[in-house]
Amino acid sequence: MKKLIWGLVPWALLWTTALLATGPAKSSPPGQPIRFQLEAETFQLSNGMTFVLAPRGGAPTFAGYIAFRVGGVDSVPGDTGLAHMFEHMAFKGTQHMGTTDWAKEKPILDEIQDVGDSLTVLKAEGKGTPEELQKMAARLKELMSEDRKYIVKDEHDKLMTQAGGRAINASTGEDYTQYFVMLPSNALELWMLLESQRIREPVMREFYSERDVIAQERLMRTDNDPMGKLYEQFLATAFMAHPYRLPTIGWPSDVPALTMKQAQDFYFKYYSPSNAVGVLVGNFDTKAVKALVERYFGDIPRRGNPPPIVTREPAQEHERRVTVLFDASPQMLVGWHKPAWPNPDDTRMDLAASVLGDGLTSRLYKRLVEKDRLASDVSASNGEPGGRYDNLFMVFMTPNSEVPYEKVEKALFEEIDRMRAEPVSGAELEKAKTRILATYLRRLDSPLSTAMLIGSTFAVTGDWKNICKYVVEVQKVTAQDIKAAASAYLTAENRTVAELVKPTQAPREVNP
Amino acid sequence: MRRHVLAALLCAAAIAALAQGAALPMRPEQLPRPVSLTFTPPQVIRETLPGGMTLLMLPDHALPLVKLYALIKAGSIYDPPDKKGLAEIAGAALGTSGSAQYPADKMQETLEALAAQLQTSIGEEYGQVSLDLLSKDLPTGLPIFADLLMHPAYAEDKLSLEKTRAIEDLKRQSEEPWLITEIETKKVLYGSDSPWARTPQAKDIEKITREDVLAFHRRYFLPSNTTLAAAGDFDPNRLSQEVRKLLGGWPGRKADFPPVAPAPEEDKPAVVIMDKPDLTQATIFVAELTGKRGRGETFNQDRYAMDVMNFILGGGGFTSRLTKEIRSNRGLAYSVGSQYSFSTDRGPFAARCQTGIGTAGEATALIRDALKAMTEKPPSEEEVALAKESLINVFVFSYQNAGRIVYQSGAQDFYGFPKDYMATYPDRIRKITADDCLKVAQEYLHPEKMVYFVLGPAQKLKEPMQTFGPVEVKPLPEP
Repeated sequence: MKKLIWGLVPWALLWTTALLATGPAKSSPPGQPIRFQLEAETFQLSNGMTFVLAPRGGAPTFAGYIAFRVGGVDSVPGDTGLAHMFEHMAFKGTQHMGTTDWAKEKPILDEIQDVGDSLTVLKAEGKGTPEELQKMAARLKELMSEDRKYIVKDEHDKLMTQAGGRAINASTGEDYTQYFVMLPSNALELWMLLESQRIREPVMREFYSERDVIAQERLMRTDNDPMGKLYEQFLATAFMAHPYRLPTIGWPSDVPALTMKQAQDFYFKYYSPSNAVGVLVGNFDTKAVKALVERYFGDIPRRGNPPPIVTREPAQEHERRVTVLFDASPQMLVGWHKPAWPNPDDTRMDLAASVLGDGLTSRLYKRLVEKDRLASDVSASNGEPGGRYDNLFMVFMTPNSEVPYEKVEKALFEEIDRMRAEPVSGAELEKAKTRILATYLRRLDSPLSTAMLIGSTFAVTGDWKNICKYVVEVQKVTAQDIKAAASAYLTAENRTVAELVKPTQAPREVNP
Repeated sequence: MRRHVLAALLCAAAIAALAQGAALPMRPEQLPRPVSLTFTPPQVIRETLPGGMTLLMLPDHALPLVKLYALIKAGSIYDPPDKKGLAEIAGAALGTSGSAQYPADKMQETLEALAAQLQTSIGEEYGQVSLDLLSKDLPTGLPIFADLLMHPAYAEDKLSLEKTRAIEDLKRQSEEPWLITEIETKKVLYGSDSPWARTPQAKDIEKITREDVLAFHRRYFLPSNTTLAAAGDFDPNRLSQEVRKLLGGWPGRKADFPPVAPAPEEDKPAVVIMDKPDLTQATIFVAELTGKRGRGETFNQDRYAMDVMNFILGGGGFTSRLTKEIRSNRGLAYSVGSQYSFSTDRGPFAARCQTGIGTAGEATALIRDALKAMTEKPPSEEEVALAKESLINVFVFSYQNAGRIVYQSGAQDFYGFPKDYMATYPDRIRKITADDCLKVAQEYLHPEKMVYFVLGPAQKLKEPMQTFGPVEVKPLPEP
């Protein structure tokens, strides 16, 4: 039995979902519903920016969160890494922040852009004489140290830190870029000032030194991390056409070729308030916060809508495989193409992922780790690498050393075939539903994870209330639904397999 | 007529001025001063049960969830030299291999069907068992939790699985640069056989038997040695009654702890390269042993100045000196910072960063210079003010989550923090001066006696690292 109650009051939307868990929990008091309740108020400013406010009691703190619907997926070959680069720049200040004298700094920054961008383009194209390049690099260095005279180092971070900010950070994914912080409640207006200002008038300050920082970040996350590298190659193989194939951190060739001009153009294209959502969760007075939001964010000019992504991944007709050479222990990834939410199959595949790979009693853990001792870990994830467009259902496996990959994948494919051939048991279905519901409930446990849940759902689906819609939808799925979806997508021709192999080891021959 | 025009102009000017007065603030200085926050932290209910177990409870009905934690004094520092890895395996297998009343598979099925999360682990000095569940399932979960604490089964097949998984993890350790560098730096600081640094090898783990883990449990899992903490959606009176009923039969002996070899008194400088030729990024630790935590009356009062000093040096994110120099000014690293801990014995300090192989020498020198500067001159008034303000303002987050409040109060009891530690922390920070920071930096940081540890290709790192002393090249540890 499912019940959905919601009421609409002027500029306030209270959304409540009450669900009845009917799992095999025989010893629990029968008939007790699990309540999933998320109350928040939504409003839109005249420039199109949406805000969601979810006040709650407890310590006088709040989580402040802003997301823009732009990420790695919005890049094209040549500018990969740009969304992430811009995210770093958003911490470098504005015309009023991070500078002692904007009027004097501006001409220097303009010249830095002239010299730096020209140098970048020449280098990327392999043009320019060594003397020429050297001269430009020397001039750039000179200008950068000139600029430093006016820079107030990392002032955005400093002000948030001083006010008691925690988790002052941002992240860029395939689908969206998010900026977040937890602050004491007496710093609400400071948050408004800093966040609205960097949306309104960001300055590409210290662009070139930050580009070097990102090169180091890539070394850490991808080039020196076996899993990072495997995942990157896996996506580039599974997707041939759709930009989900492009790494959010950027290809090693693209990051050093990014220019200040590109970053500015990117800002005008994607950082329109109508492409953003602000979320505040915590201990505050909603009325006062609304007034502050209107005041600080209301006058940011609306810009055009970002260009749509028209490319669709063509249907995959044969199994694809990729091998990554790395002096590291075994890792294996398998992924299958499938549609994204709101296609109902997406929710069905969430349940399939739970039955297959969530917990010590999941099918894959029982079979591969416990019974056959082929792997030390296994998990399944639906919706990789993002949710805005059709995506992948994935299984991540950590084969035990010295176990041949053939054996591991044979066992996996047998379990996959079982998912396609027969419906999951009633107990498995109920367990999966309860576990997904509990995961969502636990995300409400902290103001920041609540804000992230609301904001990311907005960025991916266009409406945060889809959280509640989804939670209800999960409870309606039947064993037959899961079987039908598994059987449609988890086929041999639709899958991509990636494996990590030591350079000393010859890649194996596979006849698909 | 003219006068009228003038009046109208003046009027317009006044409106403009007014509008300007109400203009959007562009700088934080234009904002009203933040009001001071008034907040009464929730009171944790504290009971001592027969048998000596402490029970901490903090009801919070915001969500239908309950978190249970048991903190048990037991750890790898007490492992006999020929049983390395015992505490770790006893901890990992505890939660997966069942109990007297609930055989492993049945226990896992029951808990996972309820979406309850059971986690068990044993670290250096204490172990923890936690169960996170929906509050409606507390009547099912609590008896399982209690039976597991008192009568774990350590079923042979599940124990052997956990051993296999632990060995597999060991083989992968050297593929995680931060992790392996931290483990190996500690071995240089404490000595590789020290209880505070040693790690098991595959052959040690293979040797561990069911009888070993059962004996481990018998020796340390005792009510007098345990703090139980609960937070969330429950009635404390009922929970207390249930706990008394379920854990009433737990034998009330005192645990006896073997002596633990002390950490070295003297710091021995060293420059070590751990050779991993395939890496294109170096992981650098500049480390030394600092002070002891102390208990109750002997609680180390330098902690407060150390918190401020380390914040300025490398703990305070972008505002810290290390981040400013190495990341922000020079673009040499993405992650860089410093941390310290006062432990039961001398705890480690480490400044660390990851940088390209070609810039490893430069980054290490910058770390060394930053450490030196910290011991030579008091930090600026501005740095001290920022650090203090931040540490004081951020303190309210210690009370943000009921689970965290009971857990930290259990951990602070365990370590012998003064009773008024939380209540007085902001005031103690407020009193710290720039000279206090210099004093603790001189007391605990000695750049000339530190251990410089780098993970990366030795062939390329040897020359730049020679600047810091005679270099010793080590191979990756055998798993």
